[in-house]
Amino acid sequence: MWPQIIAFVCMIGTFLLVAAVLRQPAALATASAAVVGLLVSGSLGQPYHLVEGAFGYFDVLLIIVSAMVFMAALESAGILEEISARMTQSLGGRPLPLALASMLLVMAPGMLTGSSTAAAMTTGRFVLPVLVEAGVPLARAGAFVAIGSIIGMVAPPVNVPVMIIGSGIDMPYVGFDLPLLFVAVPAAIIASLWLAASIRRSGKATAAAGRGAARAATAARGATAPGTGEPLRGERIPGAKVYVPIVALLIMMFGTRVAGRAIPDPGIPFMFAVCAVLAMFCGRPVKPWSAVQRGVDLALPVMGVLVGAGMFVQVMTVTGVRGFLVVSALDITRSWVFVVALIALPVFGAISAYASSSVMGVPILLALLGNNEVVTAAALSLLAALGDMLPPIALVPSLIAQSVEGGKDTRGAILKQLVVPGVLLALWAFVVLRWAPAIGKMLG
Amino acid sequence: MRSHRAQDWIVLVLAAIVVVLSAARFAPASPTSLEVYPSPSLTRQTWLSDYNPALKGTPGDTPVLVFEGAEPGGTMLVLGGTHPDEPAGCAAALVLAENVMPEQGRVIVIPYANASGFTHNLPQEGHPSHYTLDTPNGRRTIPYGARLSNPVHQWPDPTVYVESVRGQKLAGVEARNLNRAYPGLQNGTLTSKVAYAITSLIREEQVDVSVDLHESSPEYPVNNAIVAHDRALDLAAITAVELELSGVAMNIEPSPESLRGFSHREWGDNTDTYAVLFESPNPAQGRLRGKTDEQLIIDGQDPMYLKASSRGRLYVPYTEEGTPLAMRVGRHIASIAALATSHTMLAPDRGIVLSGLPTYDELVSNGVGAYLSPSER
Repeated sequence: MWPQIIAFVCMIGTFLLVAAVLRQPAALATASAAVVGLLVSGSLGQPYHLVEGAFGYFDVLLIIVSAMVFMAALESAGILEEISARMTQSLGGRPLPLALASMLLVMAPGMLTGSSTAAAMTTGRFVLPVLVEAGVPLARAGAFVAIGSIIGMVAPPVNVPVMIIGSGIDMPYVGFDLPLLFVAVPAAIIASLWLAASIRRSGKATAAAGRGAARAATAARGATAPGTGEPLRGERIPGAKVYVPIVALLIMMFGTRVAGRAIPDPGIPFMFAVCAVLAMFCGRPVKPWSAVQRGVDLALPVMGVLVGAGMFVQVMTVTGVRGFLVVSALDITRSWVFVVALIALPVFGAISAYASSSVMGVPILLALLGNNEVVTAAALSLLAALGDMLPPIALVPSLIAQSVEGGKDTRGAILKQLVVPGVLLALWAFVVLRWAPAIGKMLG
Repeated sequence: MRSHRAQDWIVLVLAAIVVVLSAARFAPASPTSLEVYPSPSLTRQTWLSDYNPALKGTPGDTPVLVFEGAEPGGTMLVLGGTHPDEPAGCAAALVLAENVMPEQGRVIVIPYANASGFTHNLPQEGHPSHYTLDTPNGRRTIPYGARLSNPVHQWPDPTVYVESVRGQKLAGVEARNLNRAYPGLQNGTLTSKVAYAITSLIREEQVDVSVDLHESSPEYPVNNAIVAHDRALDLAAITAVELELSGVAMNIEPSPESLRGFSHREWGDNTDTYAVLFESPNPAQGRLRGKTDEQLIIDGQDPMYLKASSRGRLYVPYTEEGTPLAMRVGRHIASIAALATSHTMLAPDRGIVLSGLPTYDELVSNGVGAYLSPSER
């Protein structure tokens, strides 16, 4: 087992060195760790493992990039802004409904793509100024968006960590909707209550904030949309056409699932692509190429992390590190496995929630066979997803902090705000994990 | 800014080097590279596309070998390579095809059932693309592929795969799993066309007994087992007794009615054949495995599995000797022979009498290569 231990220590050490000390992107850190893993195991003559592993999340990459192009099109067309403003106008006087609607809006891209980054970098950035306008302190609003992004990543219909964990034990991604809702909905409601308590403005003042929210969004993000150069004018877009792209997307996503074999499934990337084109005709005039370019720019960091994580996992498998971790996870008593899950999944998730799902999620699920695997995988996915807001990378809080003034200070303030809700989310996941059989029975 | 740009270029150049060095590994393989050197009793060699013309010229087409004895009798179909990452299935089918001398009845062998699956490996599994065995006259290279058809041949996967008989929903990637595609569709996806062709072959050739050779990881509960369709349970029980007498212990698992698209279920439901599936324990496909390489495929010895076994985590006996390929192929060949004998006992007029096959003990002692021809390519 020593070769595996040495390889694992070298790989983790390389990752920490490149990511935390050299401050390089997580994608580069995971890829470097993979190369070092090949080197220390004497397999450097087989570089194809890096290429093969990089294709591990190919379909997920396509989903993410097409989703980002879709969101960039919505953004450029002013549709997200308009929907945020309407939401504030109609719900502004009622803190709780506003908090719940904000939560749903932040979660939506995560639910559709399985990526917390997608949520934080799209709807999250529009909800943030709406909440600030409504009287929520910036740090708390940022923390709320981060939590919403994480919960969105976990909520159905698309939960990538569960898919990754499931593929590790040949478990189809079927029957997860209810368990994932069971995990996500209470968490979303509690986070919304937590936010509502912060909304201090009077109903009247907030109700008037509809236009203000749009202006605040513009102010928070500069006079022009980053990357596109298109002015964000804060002008309203009349009519119901702003809802067309989102409604069309939902109809396609759920239509193909309900219709079974009657309607061929063209794949999620295709659906996003079609709706991105639709979005360009349902709001302000859009420069299509700029919107596509911006979407790809937004997607690239996440895609890079996934490519690196794919290499990392492949090298772990080739060298036997994966087997070593699996067998080690199995080598403790069952009650301790729950505790290991509570700690190890978020900690590894700080590297990448997806990598954590694969590296730790699979062996832990194997060690918990018979514990209602579907509910268990749902709980594990929340624990892995929490890693996206943990330092040193703290991916989601960092992205949110970048979109507002304050930079590092704001990031630190958001992280402080996240301590209590983060611990509560982890404990909630632990409860679901520990009592998965009973919960599974209850959900039928 | 300048240092960032230099760094970007360094990363780009390194990535390009890795891609160039790896390119040969991903060069496309064709079905004709799937080697088989049939025994002298071969009476007809055809292609799977003869049973579904929609397969002609596609990467799913694969050789079909027919061996016929002097005395008329029944027909047995043996499939290897349904899952190309379960090497004992393909290797046993090759040993059968290269040694069998039927005395009564016919044997039809398809060694590379999912030919497309032999052209790639699954990302993150780290499997080699082939393994090499020593034969008496040289070396034999056998491809090691993936559980699923190549996405280059069938893509994109649906979000959810809806199986064709009862509409059972599975993860999208299962649309490329041959053993979830039966009875298949004549003009469906590549994988379902292959499944359709095999189902048609069973009907057209009036196959009495159909065998699908598989492997499973040692931590998987269904192992060292015959999975039998309801109508084939008696045959499976007699076969297990035959095997027990020759020192090979085998469990019997009834084919679950609820699992659709599987060979043992759909062949039995959609044709008159007696459908069975054999499983042997393969550590090279398990999640607990240590270093993944050719050695593990051939020797089946793994320290991680040894440790897991000592903790009672496995469903098969696992000692320091491991579960070598020779032992796993031996189990399959012994099971095929016992199945033929049992069928002949139950239906003498449709008897299948096979000779020329190595016994379990011979395979374990001499290795798989001893019963294969060397590669000509």
